[in-house]
Amino acid sequence: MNDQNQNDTGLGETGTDSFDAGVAKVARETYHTPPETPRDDMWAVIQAARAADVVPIRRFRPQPWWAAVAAALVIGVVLGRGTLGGPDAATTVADGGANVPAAVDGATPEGTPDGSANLVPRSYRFAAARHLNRSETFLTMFRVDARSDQLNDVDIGTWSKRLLTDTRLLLDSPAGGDPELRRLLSDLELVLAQIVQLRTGDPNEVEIIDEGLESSQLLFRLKAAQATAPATVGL
Amino acid sequence: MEESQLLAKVRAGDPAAERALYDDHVDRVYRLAYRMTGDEALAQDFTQEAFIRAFNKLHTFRGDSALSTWMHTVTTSVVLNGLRKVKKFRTSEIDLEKARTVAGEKPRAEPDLRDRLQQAVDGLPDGYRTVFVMHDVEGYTHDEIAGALGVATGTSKAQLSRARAKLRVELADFAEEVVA
Repeated sequence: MNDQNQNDTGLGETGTDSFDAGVAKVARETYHTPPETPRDDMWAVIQAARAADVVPIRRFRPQPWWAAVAAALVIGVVLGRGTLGGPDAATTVADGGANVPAAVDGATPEGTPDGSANLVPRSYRFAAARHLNRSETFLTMFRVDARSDQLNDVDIGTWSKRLLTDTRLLLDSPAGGDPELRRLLSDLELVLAQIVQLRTGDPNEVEIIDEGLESSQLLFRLKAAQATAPATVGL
Repeated sequence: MEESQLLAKVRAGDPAAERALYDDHVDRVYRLAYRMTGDEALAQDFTQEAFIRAFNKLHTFRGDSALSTWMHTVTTSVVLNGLRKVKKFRTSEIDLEKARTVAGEKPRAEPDLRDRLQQAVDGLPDGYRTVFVMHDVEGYTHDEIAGALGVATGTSKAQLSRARAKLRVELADFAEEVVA
């Protein structure tokens, strides 16, 4: 290897070592230099995500506040889906969502050791922020893949179905009671539903989705919503 | 606090112990994620995912290695696996740059060392780039890299050697500046 290196660069062994050390030094100083680690922000998301949906089944130990979040989501789904199709569907869903925190908050103090009533709204807020982040990543990758004719059925099907389910859960949860977030989630739901039903061999369908992404500025709005997550989510 | 005590507390669901474990490792995981992606949002997402997985898999830790080693192997593996999904982002960015040049946008007359180094590192094959960033940029040992990537230590060393050789060729024009 060293002989080859010397032939390529004309550097002797000592020169090669110095060169490698110099490259490493410049890379350490300039190559994708990381900003300060956002410890607390990431920890909040990790906590919320673990509480909301990634408790492993074998290790599952029911906790009152976790149960409250799950119950709120289920109630939201039942109320929301039960009224879909009626003339006041949107209002009913929003109202149903708005009423849930009160009910949950009412249940939380007796279920949590410290009696905190704010755990559920915080969980929804962080769950929404995390969902928007994942959706943005997915849609960006989808657009890149679509434009380079490299769409993968399996990846896209799995991701989009999961994201669509989560979007609908959020829409029917208290988080959906925030008008701005609701509009964003509704637009996201539409695009994801199109992607779920996409036949990847059809370039026209891909183009329509791509144009829809552009015209609705969905990616930009997702990014903006994350930047102002607490205010946007409004919880 | 000793690792065994920390582990016992984490397993018992002690939030302060979980946070302590997170604090011990998060900087290194986030730095690697950021170095590899160059994107703040992706780096955060990967880091969060890594710790969620690590905490959920903690019951599989048998104590064959130090907890810190295990924790770091799990989190780093998640970050590196996630990177496969963003490979196409990077390709796209490079293509975009080429397209601008072809379309007549005035390229910068004299790319500086920093720009050339970034292009050269980005242009390395995935395996080479990963090992170069982990070892030469972030200071991982070959044993740590081998553990995280699931390869032999010798493979890590060989890939680093090839990565360096490629960079020597790519950056030969900047030899004086690099060595200085």
